[in-house]
Amino acid sequence: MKNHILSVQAQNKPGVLSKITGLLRRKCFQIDSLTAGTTQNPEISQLTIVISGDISTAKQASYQLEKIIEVISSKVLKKEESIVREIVLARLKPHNDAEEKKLLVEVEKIFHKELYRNNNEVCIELIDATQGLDNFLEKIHNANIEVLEWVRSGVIAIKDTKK
Amino acid sequence: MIGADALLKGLENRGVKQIFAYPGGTVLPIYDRMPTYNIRRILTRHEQGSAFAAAGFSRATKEVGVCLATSGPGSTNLVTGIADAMLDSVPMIAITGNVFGSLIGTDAFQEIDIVGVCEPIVKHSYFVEKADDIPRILNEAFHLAISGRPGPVLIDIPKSIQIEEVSQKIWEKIEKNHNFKHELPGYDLDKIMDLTDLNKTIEIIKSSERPVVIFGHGVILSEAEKDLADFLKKTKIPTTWTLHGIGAFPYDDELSLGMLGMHGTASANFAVHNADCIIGIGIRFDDRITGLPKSFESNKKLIHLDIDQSEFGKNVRIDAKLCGQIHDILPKLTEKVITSDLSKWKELLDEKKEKWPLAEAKDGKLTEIAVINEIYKLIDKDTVVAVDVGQHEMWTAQRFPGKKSRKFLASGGLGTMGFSLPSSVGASFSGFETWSISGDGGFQMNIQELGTIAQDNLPIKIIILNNSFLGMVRQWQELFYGKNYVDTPLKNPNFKAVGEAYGIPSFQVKTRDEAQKVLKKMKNHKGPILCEFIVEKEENVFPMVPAGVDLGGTLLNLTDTIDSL
Repeated sequence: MKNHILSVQAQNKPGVLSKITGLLRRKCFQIDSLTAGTTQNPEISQLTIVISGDISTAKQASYQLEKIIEVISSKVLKKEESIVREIVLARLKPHNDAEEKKLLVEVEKIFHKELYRNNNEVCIELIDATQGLDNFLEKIHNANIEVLEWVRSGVIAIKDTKK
Repeated sequence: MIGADALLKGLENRGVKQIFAYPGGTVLPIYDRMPTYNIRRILTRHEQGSAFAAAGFSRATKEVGVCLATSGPGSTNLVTGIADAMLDSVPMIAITGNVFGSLIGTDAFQEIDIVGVCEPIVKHSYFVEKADDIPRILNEAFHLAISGRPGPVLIDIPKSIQIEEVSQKIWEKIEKNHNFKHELPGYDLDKIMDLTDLNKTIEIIKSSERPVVIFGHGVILSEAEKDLADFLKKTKIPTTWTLHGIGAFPYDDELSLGMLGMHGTASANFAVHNADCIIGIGIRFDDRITGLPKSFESNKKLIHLDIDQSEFGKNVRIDAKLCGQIHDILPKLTEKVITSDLSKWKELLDEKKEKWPLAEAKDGKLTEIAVINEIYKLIDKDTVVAVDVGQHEMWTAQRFPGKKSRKFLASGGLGTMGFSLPSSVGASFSGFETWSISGDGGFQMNIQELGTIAQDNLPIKIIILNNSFLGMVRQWQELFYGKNYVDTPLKNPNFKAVGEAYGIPSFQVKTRDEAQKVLKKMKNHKGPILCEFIVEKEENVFPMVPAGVDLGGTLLNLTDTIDSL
């Protein structure tokens, strides 16, 4: 399913997040991920929302969000003009040393990150664009490494001024 | 001075002359201070009546109606009226009391999170946390309610804030009617206007051979009636209108086709169905006017002028859009627009207009159409008619002879039965002659407002068209459910006796002759007056576009549809 990234800036006030998610629900938009956090301005929150659907769906969602009085701006980011990142934290259980070693190499190669070892499990932290993370998680799955748990942060994105 | 004073003085400062309200525990501090201020209280008999009355006042004037209710059930009773205002873009301020701040969130007696309840049905809402915030919040609330695309704004004030002292500094500013600064960084009306597609729009209109204008509420809200007339006169494009466009352009103009949609005129639906270009002005292409959206979109170019960018492409595909206040953007289009020779198209539509006139009242019988025609002979250019929802609403809308905006009031978006009587309460404060027309079903949904009308001696002419059925639902049961009349026949009270019980002069009429006489009497009466008309039971409203059918399938009667091109 195609999706699009909405970058939403809103006043940092109580109830705004609930208004945003409530609106998306009742207008039947499908949220793939949603992150919210502070910005350089303490009065403004930044939300990054990934919406399933074509570009007209994303634009309609963005226009609807702009009608919320506390929303200062909402726009659909062009992925090719943005830096898009997501974090995965995962606890894995390789069944043998060779498996673990291979995993370690992969993680270092792709994500420049080390593995952390606790008891019988390995904890990894991966940062990449969504597709890169999806690919790696699939690789783990195919390698038959047992996944104890993984969590994803949801996407954050910022305009890439180099592009 | 306390929060209640800040609220009431603030309302007074904004020229609020009356509020439609119902007392209760958590608004007692406000009620206690009310007699000190120059604001008339209209005591409705149910909070839903307050909400509809406030919105009815807004609809009939260009002002913002205000209603007030206590917490809990008082506030939830406002909900239908607020939702109605939201769907029809009606400016309104709803003020609710809430329990003491220290009790908020404890499920206290008569505590309800009304801000949460109303979230999808308000333009904006406030939960007041400090008495000193009240003046700024009032300023913002009125600004939000009436500007841009109007809508209802809710202000929920805990009782503890109503009795909290207002600081000396703030009170001095309130007394001087200080203009408290808005804190609305996300609400910038200056950024709205977008004329990027102006040239494209002009090209589409220029190359079209069968264009039609559909205008709606946006023209009235933007006070763009003259701009619309200028555009139509220059382009000679035939026009139709939505339920909420009624009155913004003369119904008897040579370019006028009447209202379109599910119960629109046959010629309007024919024109829209066969047009190669639609210019929607201040409308939202809702399902009651488009029929099947896919068919509506096909074989034509769609141009859309509106203030709300989220409306572009929401319901139908749009080929060119102009965003902004209609009175700002339409003149820009009028200035440059050119049309090809439309005389053949106009001739065809004139022929259809003549071929398919609206149904006349049946000979001799007392039908709803007959009563409506008689009423319409009596109304003046400034008369306000507030109708309810159902068959009579469509018959009155199809035939409304007014030539001014804000004279035909109806619940368009929400379609709320019980709308007419309380809305007419509010509308009567416009100072214009006011008629309320309801069916026997809808009338009973807010029948208690007869008490309000009697107590305040409001000069409303109350019409009940009694066919002993929920007529529109019955019509659907007749047409699509094999006349299986489940729960649509009504055993009604004697409405004349009900009116008299409230001390309102009341009549019951069964014949056409009587109808004429009584209606004349009603016209000349000064105070409230009521008449129940016992009308034919199983009349159907035509034209009609059945559900799931496009406008080309508009039924003229039970068997015939309109012509194809």
